[in-house]
Amino acid sequence: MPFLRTFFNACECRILEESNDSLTVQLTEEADRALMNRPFYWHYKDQLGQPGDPLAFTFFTKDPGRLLKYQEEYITFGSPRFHQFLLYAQKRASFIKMYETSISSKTVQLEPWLFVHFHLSYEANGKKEKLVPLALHLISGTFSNNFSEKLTSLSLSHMIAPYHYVLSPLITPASGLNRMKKRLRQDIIQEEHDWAKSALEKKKIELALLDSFFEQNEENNAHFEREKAAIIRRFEPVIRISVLNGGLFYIAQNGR
Amino acid sequence: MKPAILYDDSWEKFLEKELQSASSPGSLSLFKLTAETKNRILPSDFNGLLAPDFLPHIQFLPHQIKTAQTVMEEMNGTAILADEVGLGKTIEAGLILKEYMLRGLVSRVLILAPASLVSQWAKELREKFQIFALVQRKKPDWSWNGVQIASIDSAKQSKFADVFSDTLFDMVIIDEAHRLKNPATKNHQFVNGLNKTYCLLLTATPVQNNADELFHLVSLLKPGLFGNNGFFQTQFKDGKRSMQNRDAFHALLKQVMIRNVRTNVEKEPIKRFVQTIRITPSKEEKAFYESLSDCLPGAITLLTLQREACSSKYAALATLIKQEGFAQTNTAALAGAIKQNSKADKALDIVKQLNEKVLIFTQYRATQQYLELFFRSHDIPAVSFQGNFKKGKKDWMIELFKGPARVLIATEAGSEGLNLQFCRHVINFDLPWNPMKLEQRIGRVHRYGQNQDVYIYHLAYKQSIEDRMLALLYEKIALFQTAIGKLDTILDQNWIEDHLKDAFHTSKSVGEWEIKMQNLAAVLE
Repeated sequence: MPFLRTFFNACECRILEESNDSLTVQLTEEADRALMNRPFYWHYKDQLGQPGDPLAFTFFTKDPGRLLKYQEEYITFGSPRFHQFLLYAQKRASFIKMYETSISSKTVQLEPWLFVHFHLSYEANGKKEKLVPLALHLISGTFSNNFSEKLTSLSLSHMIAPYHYVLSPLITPASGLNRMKKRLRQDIIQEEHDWAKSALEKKKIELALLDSFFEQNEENNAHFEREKAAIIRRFEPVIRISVLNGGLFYIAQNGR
Repeated sequence: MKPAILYDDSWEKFLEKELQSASSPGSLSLFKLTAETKNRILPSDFNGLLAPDFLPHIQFLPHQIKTAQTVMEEMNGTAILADEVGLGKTIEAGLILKEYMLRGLVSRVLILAPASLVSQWAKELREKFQIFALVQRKKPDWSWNGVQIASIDSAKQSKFADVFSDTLFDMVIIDEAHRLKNPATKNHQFVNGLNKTYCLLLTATPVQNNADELFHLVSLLKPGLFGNNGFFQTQFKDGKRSMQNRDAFHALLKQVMIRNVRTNVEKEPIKRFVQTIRITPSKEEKAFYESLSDCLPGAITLLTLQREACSSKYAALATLIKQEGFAQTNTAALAGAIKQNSKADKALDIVKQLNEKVLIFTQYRATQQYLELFFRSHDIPAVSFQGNFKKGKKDWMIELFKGPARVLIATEAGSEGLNLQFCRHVINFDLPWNPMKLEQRIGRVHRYGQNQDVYIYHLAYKQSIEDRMLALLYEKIALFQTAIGKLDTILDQNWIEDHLKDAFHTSKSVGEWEIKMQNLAAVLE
């Protein structure tokens, strides 16, 4: 799982050993506290005022076919552990600020971009999801269509480099975000929503069946309402929008 | 029609604060990693299953995948899973549960199973699906916001009624759901009162007595599929037992029920070798058997008593001893004269030759005890298994059978939910009057997970009641199986079983029983 290597590198944990099917890592104190679920140990060390001893841990990406020892774990995309890591990565980098760096003796002017990964979830009697990346130039108000690809070719740092300076946004990030949301809504309305139509169709049929079962039987009103609510939960179509992560990127103009 | 759009502003709330702070060095790669990984694992389509890719360590069978997919795509997460015993209903339910959890549609789950299967459920979910469930025991906490497993008896207590009426479960799964077939019972009413979005009912025997049971089961899932009760009675039922408008009924039933049958599922089925061993009784055994008609207790038919004697003298004595003055009878003396059980000797031969684990079934407690001592006296480690053992004891017996013990002796009542795929030899020490019971027995070893051929041995005394049973029932077993196994005829099952039961228990003589059985077989053919 290349995920693990990238993840631990980014969390500044040293990788001690790596093979095709396993990875051993020395956790940092921060990572141990956040990921290893041992609050009592850390509480105890904190009370004593002693430095703790972060764990070294081995993750197998292929079942080793033997009993696992303490500090060993088998991890797949279905493991709670994997989802814990993913959630931690998302929280740690939920909002980032990045600056382009170039080797230059002249001063470089950097322009602000708001870049957001929107998470769209289409729900009815089932669910599909997609990520929509949107990037807005916070001076001109134009959207870029290939911002993610552009980022990969640039060298970026979390600190501004010497001889670089930034232009302040004319559009605040908050109102930039509002423009993005507006655009997202317009795009969604343009889409075909056959899935929602068929879900509503099914809902209608199920509600009719339910009516035929109860036939205005007053005694069973509570039961009827309960079943009706369940049908609505199963079939009522809805689209949920949330932000996976986003950031402010300062990019030199020719990079636009 | 435009669906509603809901916006989650939790990220936005922290935007102003985040703008003031600087990022850390690794944050860009975490930023990208999150987006790339999320993109890779999110459900990009309404249809199809994500779960198998997330669980690479399990080889799902094609019918299990197909079942999970049908439940999700066509049945909208409300279904009766009615596979034959041993095809992996639990696996299917786990797969469906995992799929809904991965898609983020389900998080709060209630699983109700018989008390004896609760830990097994937890273990399967943990080991196969990496779902970590809370097992509710003496002091249950129903507010748990994840997957919880409980026995229906502990959950239905009236002191919890308020908690359950206020709790919404995303999914409810009920194992051995045929226990809910009667709407007058507390079990049924309890499940009916649960607030649930999705619901799975698991049972290998969706119908036991009549089609009304099916109506009540379906009404838990999808009230109105068959109309209301009055409509159902007039439209689909014809008298107490029979059905009319079968095609329409089956079409509706298929909307909520999936039944996989072994013959359709297995491409290269595990072979099953059945061997009937006819044993000549010893002189003493024969004399005892023949003397039974002389001291027949009032309430018991000769057939029943003879069947007991065919198992072991102890099984018959357990009944006979209740009569006053039995100790003085000729029969008692004849029983005392039997020093060896010819069947037990044969079973011992088989066990010694095989040098493998052997599962032995008997219907009688007395025979079970006798066999356990008998094997031990021949230095073969044997353990017993009964339905009324406590959970821990059951588990321990299975562990012993996996480990040092060579032989497990089980009574019928203990066999529900038993998974013994590591064993492939079954000895039927005595024969049940209902051939379907036999299928249940064999299903303990011939089931999902078994990867070797299975060997079955029927033991029967020559010229005894069992000999007749073999001729009448078991050599026609294929006939009964085809009549009983299929979904299309699932409703016929009960009258066949009724007849079998009736024929056995009310017949005064073997002759009468034989005639009834021949009539039944003729009808089926």
